[in-house]
Amino acid sequence: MPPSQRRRRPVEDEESEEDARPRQRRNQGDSDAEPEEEEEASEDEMDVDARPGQSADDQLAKKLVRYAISCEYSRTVIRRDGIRERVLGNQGRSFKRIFALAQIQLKDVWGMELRELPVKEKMTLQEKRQAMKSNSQPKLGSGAYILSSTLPKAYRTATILPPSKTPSADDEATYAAFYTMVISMIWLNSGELSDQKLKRYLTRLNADQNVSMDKTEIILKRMENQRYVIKKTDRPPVGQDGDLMISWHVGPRAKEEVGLDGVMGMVREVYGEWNPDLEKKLCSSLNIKERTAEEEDEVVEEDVSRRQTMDAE
Amino acid sequence: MGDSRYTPGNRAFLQAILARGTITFEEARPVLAEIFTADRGDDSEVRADQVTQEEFNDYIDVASEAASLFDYEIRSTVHQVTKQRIYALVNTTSDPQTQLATTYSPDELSFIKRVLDGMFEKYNSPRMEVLAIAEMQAIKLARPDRRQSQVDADAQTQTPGDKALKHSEVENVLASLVEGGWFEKSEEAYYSLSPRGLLELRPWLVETYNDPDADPSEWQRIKFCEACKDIVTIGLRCVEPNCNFRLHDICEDAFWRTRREKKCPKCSNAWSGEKYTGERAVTMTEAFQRGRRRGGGWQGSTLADEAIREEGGGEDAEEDADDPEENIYDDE
Repeated sequence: MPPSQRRRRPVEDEESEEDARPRQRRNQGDSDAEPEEEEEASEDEMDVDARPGQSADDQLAKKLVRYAISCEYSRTVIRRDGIRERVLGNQGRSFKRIFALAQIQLKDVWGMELRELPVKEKMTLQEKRQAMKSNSQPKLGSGAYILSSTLPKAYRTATILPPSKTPSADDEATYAAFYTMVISMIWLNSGELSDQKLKRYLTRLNADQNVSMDKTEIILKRMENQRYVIKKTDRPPVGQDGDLMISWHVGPRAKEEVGLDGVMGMVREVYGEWNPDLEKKLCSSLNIKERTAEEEDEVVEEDVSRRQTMDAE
Repeated sequence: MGDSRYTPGNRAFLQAILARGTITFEEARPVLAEIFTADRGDDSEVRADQVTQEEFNDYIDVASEAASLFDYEIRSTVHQVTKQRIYALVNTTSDPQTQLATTYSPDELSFIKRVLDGMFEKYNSPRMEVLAIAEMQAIKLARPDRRQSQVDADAQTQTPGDKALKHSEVENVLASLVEGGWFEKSEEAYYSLSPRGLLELRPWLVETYNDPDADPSEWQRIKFCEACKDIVTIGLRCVEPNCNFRLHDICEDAFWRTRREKKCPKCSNAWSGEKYTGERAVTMTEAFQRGRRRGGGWQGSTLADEAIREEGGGEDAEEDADDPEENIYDDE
């Protein structure tokens, strides 16, 4: 197919991604159909010219931007599959091009970008062994994204970017504080925290039953769904007695949104008075090398503002 | 966007609006002050009181233009009571469910639709335009109306899977709609659409609740202020029940100042200034006032319902006067 033709391909201007859902569900149905055929069929049925100055690619990129913004609203992970299904429809093969275009639009206009979440790590020995056995190619990317701010740090202040009003500014701020803290506790425990230990920490914070807006259990569930944390349940080996082993791990969203810097910022903030000795301890707890003083300064500010930006989105 | 005027400050301002949903000049001043301070990049600081209306307007315009490329838009309206101008980032292509955003479950969304129907259909008749819903009345809508869903061929919002919400869930949804800036709650515990809600839902409200083929003289559910042309959900109305002439309280003075006589320009009835649209349609009634003197407070929608019945306002206020408790708790 000549590229010129492809360019001309129209996109239903007024159609929002919400409207498009039923149609896309249909598309899902014939996903086994030859992609080639699908493309040609759609070529015939649509022959309207896109708005001047807005090529079909621009239209698709716009849809992708809208999709990303509305996903981030509810902290729904933006998946490559979701983008293919809800945004690109039968033009799945143009993913790379549209994605790049959407990134430019996001950065230029909104001061944001899509960042890919890290691939899920194999956590247990068993999982690692299985991965070796299956001999499958390791996946290159996780195919999951979150929206992140690209604003220079001077603009990332609480006055400019308050916690989102969804569901309410207070709840949103509390939630961000709570998950950052839980993630910090997991991270400081070498990335794995037993359920009992977590509960003990939470009891000390008087957050074992309720976290201001909801039951702790529900909040933890939400953190799991939004991939801030991963809850792992290990059964005792067959034939042996024992309780279920529940442990908590740092989720991919937390790695990207909060990150090590966020954890360090949180710890410094909680300790208040800081000294080189504490810094050494913190670094050894997190199993990292110490940074120079200048880097640190940057890190603290960046981290605080990054969380705020994320809330804003 | 090759526009050289579009700076990091503009991007920050757009994000500031996205996070807030709405913004007023007063709210924007400290935000812009920080942005200007960051723009300068030195140690000098811009104070909030140095931010001018012109600068604000300029940033709003630029943000709106940028957002319009993505089918968002910044629209503004004046609060019907406080008279404050409010700017909101509005999604220009959508249906009410997605406009109210996606943190609500399908069951909650269909409850919200029932509440909107309550505001604009059930409690909005020519005799009584409440255009708001008392808390107890909203709680009664916790359960989907089976009868209606059978009659209603339009299964979009009334899917068979609709479940009733628990009492606590209803309260949570209503509270979060208020917190999120979609609804406002009055002292009399009436919920009405906020300026943001009205801005976002305006086209949908007209399309859903008004009859496009109706004669201009026919009563319509959604009406506009004769002076400012915005939707009226709290305001003053003509004495003639079927007349569509409405004014906001805040627009009234200016409107009559330009006229020789205080007569409805549509039906020529004398303007009383004491006929209300909005919750005052209920709370200013004899029955309601009497009930309140007895010490009822708002506590019952029973009081509101009674007032509506007495005025002959509710289309079908009677039929659901059954015990709400029974409706709410026996599900799941």
